[in-house]
Amino acid sequence: MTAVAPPARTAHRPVGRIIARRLLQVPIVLFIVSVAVFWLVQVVPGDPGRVALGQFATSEQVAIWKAENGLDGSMIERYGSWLGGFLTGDWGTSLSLGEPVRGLVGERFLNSILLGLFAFVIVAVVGVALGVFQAFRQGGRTDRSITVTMVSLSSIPEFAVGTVLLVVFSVFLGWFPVFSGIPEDGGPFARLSVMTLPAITLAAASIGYVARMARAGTIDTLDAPYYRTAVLKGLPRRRIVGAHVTRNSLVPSVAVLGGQLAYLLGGSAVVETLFSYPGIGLTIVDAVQKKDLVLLEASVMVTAAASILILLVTDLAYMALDPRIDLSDEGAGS
Amino acid sequence: MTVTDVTPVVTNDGPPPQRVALQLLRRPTFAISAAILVFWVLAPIAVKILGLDPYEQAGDANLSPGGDHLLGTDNLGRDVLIRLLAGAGPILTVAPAATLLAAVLGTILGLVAGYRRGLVDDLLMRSFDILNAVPGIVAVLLVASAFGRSSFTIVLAIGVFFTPLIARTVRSAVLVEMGKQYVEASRTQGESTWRILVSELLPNVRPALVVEATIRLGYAIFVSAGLSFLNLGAQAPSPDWGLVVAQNRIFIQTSWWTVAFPALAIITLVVAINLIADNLREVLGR
Amino acid sequence: MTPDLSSLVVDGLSVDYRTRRGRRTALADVGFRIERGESYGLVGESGSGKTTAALAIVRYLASNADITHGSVRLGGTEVLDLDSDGLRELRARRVAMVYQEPGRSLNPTMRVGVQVAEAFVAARGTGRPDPGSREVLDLFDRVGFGEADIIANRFPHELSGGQAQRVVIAMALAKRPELLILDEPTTGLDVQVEAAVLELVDELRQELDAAVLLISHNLPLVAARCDRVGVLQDGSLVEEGDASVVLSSPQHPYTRSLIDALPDIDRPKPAGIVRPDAPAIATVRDLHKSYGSVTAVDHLDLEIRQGEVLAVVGESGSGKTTLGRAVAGLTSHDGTVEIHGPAGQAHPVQVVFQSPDATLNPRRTVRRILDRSIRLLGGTDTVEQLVDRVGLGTDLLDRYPGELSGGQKQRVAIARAFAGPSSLVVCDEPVSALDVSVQARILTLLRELQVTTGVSYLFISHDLAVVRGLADRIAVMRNGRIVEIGDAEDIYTAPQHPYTQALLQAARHEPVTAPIGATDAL
Repeated sequence: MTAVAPPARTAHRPVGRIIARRLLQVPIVLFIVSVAVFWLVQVVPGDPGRVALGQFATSEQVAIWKAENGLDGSMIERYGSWLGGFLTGDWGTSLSLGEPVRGLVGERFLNSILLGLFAFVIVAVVGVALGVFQAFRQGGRTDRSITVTMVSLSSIPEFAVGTVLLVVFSVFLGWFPVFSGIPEDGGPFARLSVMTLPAITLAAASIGYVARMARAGTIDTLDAPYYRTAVLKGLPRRRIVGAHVTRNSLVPSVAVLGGQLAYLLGGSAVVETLFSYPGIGLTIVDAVQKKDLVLLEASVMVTAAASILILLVTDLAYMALDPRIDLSDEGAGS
Repeated sequence: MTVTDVTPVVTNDGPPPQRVALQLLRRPTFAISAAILVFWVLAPIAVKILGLDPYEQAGDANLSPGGDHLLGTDNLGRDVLIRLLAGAGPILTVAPAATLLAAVLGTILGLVAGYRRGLVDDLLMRSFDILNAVPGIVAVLLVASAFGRSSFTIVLAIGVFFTPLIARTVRSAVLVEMGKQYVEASRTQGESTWRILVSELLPNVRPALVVEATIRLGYAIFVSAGLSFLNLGAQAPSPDWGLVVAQNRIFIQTSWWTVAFPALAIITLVVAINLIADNLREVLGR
Repeated sequence: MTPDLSSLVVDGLSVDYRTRRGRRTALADVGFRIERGESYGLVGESGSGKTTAALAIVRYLASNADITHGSVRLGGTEVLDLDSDGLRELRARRVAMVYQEPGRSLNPTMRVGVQVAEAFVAARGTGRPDPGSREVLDLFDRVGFGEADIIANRFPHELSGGQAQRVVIAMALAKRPELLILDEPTTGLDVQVEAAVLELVDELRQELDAAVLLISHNLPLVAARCDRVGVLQDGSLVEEGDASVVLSSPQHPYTRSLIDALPDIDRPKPAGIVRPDAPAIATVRDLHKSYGSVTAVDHLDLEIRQGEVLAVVGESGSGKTTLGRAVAGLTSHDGTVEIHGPAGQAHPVQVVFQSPDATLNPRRTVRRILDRSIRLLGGTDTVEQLVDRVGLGTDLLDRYPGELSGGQKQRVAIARAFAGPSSLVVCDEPVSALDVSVQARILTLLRELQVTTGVSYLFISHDLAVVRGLADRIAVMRNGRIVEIGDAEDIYTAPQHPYTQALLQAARHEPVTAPIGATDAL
């Protein structure tokens, strides 16, 4: 049923307010995350002092080491001092590696970003192209077989995909190195070579989701009445695809792409471990195993902050593309 | 008074279970996938029954596939094939348990959130923001390492982590149904909230729930295998596939078979489960 | 007779659909002809094939459709033989189409000015769309927009249904077509908006000397607006002729049954059982409901008397549905609603909803649905007795709603409302979603049940013709308020308020001349 609209109604979405609101949520969420991680890590069985000094150190030595590293005192005290340091840029020294955390995390995070971007480019280009391609062959055998392949691919654990890739391309064919440490002296090409297999592994899991969204979005557009209108207006095909189909069909994909980007940039712990790639994911795993609380906190915080920001940007892009979307929290989604 | 308006031929909603099963079996991808799943479920049982031992040294170390050892031996001389078959056990116990936990909790939360809205609903949506901030495996990793590496904590961690995801699907389905008047009709006739949730909404939400749960199962395997790979799940000398790959990856250049076959095994299992989910989705009509 | 070089001639058109259950014939040997400047109405119920006919003329059928036979000639051109370039040119220059859901027929992410400008580009074959150009703005003026430049900058979701339809018409006008096809162009639009849109189309028809094909399920509407009328039944054209003739003396039995089923706005209700001094069964005091900044019901007072049928008539946005829901206790609201039923009734207010599809739980058999209702309401019928009361056979009891037709589902919904004793039944547009032939029977059923049980009805509708045979009193709502209320007889014969007069004129398909204020929708 139609609604009566007064003539001068503007669909004014309070964009500024939305951004402000979301940005305000960021520190709150980060705070909760930091507390949760801090608490969990305290509960982790195992003693960082022991790990650092080895089994033969005496209890006194361990106690002294702990005091030196700020690991004595109540949990609240420790959290407080950590928080103070963190906010002022002093992220402490890694308990297991002895280096300043900030530089360490920065470097590792950058590595993950590069790897993630590489994977993201593959995902976005291949995923969207496949999805759109499928939509135009909807229901046919090509469509169904691509869907089946994509579904399968995205559900396989990354290390399984990575292992198979390694066995085939590194062990059998020798095209790529088996371990992906960053070569000190290598130029960009060496770096790319080291990142290729991990990037493909990362991409494999994500492409399926993106392709599915692109396909669904395109199909919805092709089925929509306004597509019929465009065709019956006698518009040339190029204009129809370019101006009417593309934007509308890709809008749903934007949300998925954003989510995948956030995931990819977060550094997949599994992939980085499998390939021994020095990213933030690997750092987190190591930090957990070595009970390196200082390194762990900083790593998780950086990852969380990046995820939140990317998701915010995604939502904004989403709103920019589709004038109907109003994310001003007035309707609780769904 | 005769009624002569047109009667449609097709039933669109809720085919009875027997018909569903038959339709499923007729689909080749489902049939093959189901066979694969059954194979892996039976594999560890077969190992037990046949008295095969995945922990004993059966031959020389690092033998390539062939001969007495169909898939070769690992660096401790253990038969890869036997360990492969036995390794299906750990993966197939943790993931389904976690998924079941998530399904039950998620359904309850989703029903209440969708029907009542209000506080429960808000909390659910907020929890999403938080969960989205930390990548899944990291969150579960932290929880698992904090509470000890038993299967139980992993089940708990994955289960709790997946609950909001299932709750969200259930909530969406509930919201769709809420817009339909048969729910309102029940209210005017005095049905209690409880009965509406269970009798009216739940049956209509069930297909969406089943499909989502099956997808979650695939993902639960993904996560628990990953955790084993990161040494947070099963412990040596368990034949858990993830653990085997993690331990043997340093030998990848010399004994590729020790990692390749477990990886392939995981691939077949996960693909099979996802194809089953896909077929369920098609047949249940969404 | 040599074919006039500028008219539409459809000859022997037959279309099949290939479905999973075999071939289904949608159109069988359909033929008609429209001269330039003439307007032809194609009437049919759902499933008659009327939309297939329209889409076949522009060759936009689904991929599983086959045109098995026939010809479609526009001027000298055989449309069915055109290649893709020729087809594109035909669509760009000579044929225009206006659709049923105008809001969804416009690209949601593109400003409407650009979409209209595109039509010029398509007709010309070259150039880039310029939404600010003189020709585009002139077009917006022509279709009745006051502030052309502001409207041109809007997105479709920022327009009302009537406005969106005007935009679609503007797009059609840009190419100055020889043939204009309208497929249910005003279904879902308010009465005044509908009248205005059809007036506009009529003006354009004369201006362009275009042939107009108007497709609709609404026979009286088509008869009032078109020169000639064709009636489609199950894919065949069963009757054709001048509009007034077909309406007044139909030849074919199907046409006759359609006309008989039409609610007659001028046939008074058989004498009712309501005494004018009957006590109130429901009292509504100062009822107020707003959604955000929009007021749906505005401080309304109302009394429903025992045993009466009180019809609430209004257009969409009038608040009538909100009123019904508030009385049924389904919506929170300010103000009071008191039901004065007898002490024993736990749930004195029941509801019959509009959409038969959503009104029954798809996973419950009819038997279970009704059994539950009987128990909840404390009814004394058995399930078999209850379905008999609503004219259904007991063979339907073990079916699921998905296996029933729209009319049958609605009967079950009515049975549910009457499963036990109640005092008031709120009927919210109970027949609006049904075909005309089914409507009449459901209305008869509702009337009978009301007479035998003595319950009161709060009958909500947008159609004054529909309630004529049922209502004792009528309340006319607009913008959340009751603008007129009185005995049915008085309302129909001597309406006082201009808005009521306008509604009656529109319902009788007369030009709307009553001095109501212009609604914003235009």
